[in-house]
Amino acid sequence: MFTNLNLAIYFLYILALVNVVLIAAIYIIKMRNIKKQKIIDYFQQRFQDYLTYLHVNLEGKERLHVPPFKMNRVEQVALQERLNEMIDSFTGGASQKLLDLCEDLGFVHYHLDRLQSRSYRNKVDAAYHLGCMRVKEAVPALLQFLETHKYNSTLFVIARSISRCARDELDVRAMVSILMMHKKEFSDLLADIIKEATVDHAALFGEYLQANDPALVRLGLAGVKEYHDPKVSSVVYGLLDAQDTEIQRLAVRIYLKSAHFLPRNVVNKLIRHERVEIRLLTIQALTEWKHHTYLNEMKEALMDPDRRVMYASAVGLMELGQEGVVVLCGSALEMKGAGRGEAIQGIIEDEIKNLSTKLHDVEHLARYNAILYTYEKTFDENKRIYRIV
Amino acid sequence: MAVFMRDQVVDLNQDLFNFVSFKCVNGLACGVILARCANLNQKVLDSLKNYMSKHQPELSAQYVYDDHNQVLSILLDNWKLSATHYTSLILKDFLQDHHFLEGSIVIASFPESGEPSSFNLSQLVGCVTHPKKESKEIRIFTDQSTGEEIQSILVVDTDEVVREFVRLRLELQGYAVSEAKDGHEALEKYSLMSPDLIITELNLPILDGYQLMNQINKRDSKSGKVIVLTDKHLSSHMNRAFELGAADYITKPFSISELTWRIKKLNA
Repeated sequence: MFTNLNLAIYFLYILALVNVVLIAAIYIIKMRNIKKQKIIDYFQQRFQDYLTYLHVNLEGKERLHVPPFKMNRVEQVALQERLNEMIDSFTGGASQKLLDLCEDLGFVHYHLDRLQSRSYRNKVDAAYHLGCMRVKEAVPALLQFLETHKYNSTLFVIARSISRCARDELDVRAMVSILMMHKKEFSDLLADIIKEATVDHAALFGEYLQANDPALVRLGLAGVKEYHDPKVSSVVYGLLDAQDTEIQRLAVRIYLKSAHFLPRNVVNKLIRHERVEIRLLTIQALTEWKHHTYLNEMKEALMDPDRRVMYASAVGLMELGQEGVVVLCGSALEMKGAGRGEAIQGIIEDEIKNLSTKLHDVEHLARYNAILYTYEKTFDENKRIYRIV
Repeated sequence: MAVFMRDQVVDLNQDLFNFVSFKCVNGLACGVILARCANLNQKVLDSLKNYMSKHQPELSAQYVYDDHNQVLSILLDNWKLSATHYTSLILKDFLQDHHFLEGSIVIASFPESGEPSSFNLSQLVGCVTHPKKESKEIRIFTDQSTGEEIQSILVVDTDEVVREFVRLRLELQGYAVSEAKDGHEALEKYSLMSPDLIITELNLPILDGYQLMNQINKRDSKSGKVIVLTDKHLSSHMNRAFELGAADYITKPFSISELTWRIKKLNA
């Protein structure tokens, strides 16, 4: 007869079995790590002098020599890993000397052969190493591999290798167009991959910004979003009216970040934009700049139908110092009775309250006094709300 | 040509000085390798010479063994530091395979490693006969005086490759360099050694680069000079580093020439 007790016993057996399997798996992983560490330690010991030789002679005209002793496959792999790390750490002549050394060591030839292998694992490993070694002649085979590869994380390993090995912009463009065929959203990752190529990134991203394909435009925007060049603002200006809301949001964000001064008509256009997100971004940017030039625009934003914009604008005006606080308090008084005035007054009072807890800092104390003075003057308050201690 | 000497160190110094000076006066570079090894005889020296010639057929060298001090000297004609360094790898491989190596190997190439003065050459010999630490590593001799305001440098980075590279290159230029792999270790070393300059990554465990700079500022009102050498490329990181008192900001991948130029600029 099958009872609940039997079921519990079977369950315990299964649990015990799972535990044994997991312990065995952990043990295997641990053993592998120990073995790997031993190989690394041995490598460090045997190769320390050679690695010192590489470090000391990385710069200079003389070509680096291969180790004067024979290496087994494990040592070659360890040396290759070390060289990969070094190539990524250094620029110019030092990096080029390491690439030449990889060729002299036969690593380039070895991995070019492996790229033609029938084993998928070997091909991916070869693609990665060829990328590390910036092997230009590997690009056609890598592009072919990329084209036939399914959509998963390894796809980007191959793409990165192509970008690192790229002979010119054409190779990068070919890689991008293959990836774009997957029709997935990975603009940021792809922009990061493109930046690994030794081509004019700004020109390439600028070109993508002019493209008709929204995916390419998004890629262009992802590429230029970290630039702080006024030229970028002129390039993305044309996208401020883009139909695609995501593109428009990104374009506005980049435009506001890269521009150091905005024409008044552009500010007015953005501050009155139908999308609240755009209006909010604009106010936040104006707050960051702390330009008195946009005082009127920020005052206007206090009447924005969206409370978030109104709040951001009030905060922005307080950031502008005495002049901004005067405008803010005046606006609050003008709008009193309609609910909005009280809301703005509440924001000012909150700020006064907040600053009153930080009066040990001179900067906060000065700000506190300035806001409080204008507040009392505007609202005709006879007694101070918070006393300076 | 193999020569046996049974004189004191002073003769070894004199012999080296004569050889190096002669080469340098004639506008040629002169590589020197000194190795502490025991039980070398004429037969071994001949086989060493064959071994070296096999690996480097273009090598023109004199092999001298001082059996009193147990120092093997190899004097290389027109051999720059880079080539001398590589030759020392071949030599070490031979000496270790035959169990002759007893201490460290010291290399130099004049005039690259300094003035070929008798003082420098006696210092070079001293590195082998009276080493500061017993090891069988290859050490590079340089004229130690930088003559600059910055003499000691602390390199803080999690990446061993970067730490080792920067240390080696700066040591070659005469700086006293120490390493730390995280912010906490860096702070401890800073308290112990008070280095003139800290070269730090921002991305560090325990205490990050910003916290490290902050702590240093709190401890020392004069604030030790800090150069940031980092993977972080964004201007926001750069601004924050400068706000915390960084003297310079270099992004990776980097060039050692640029780094040394920036250090020299701080010295100016």
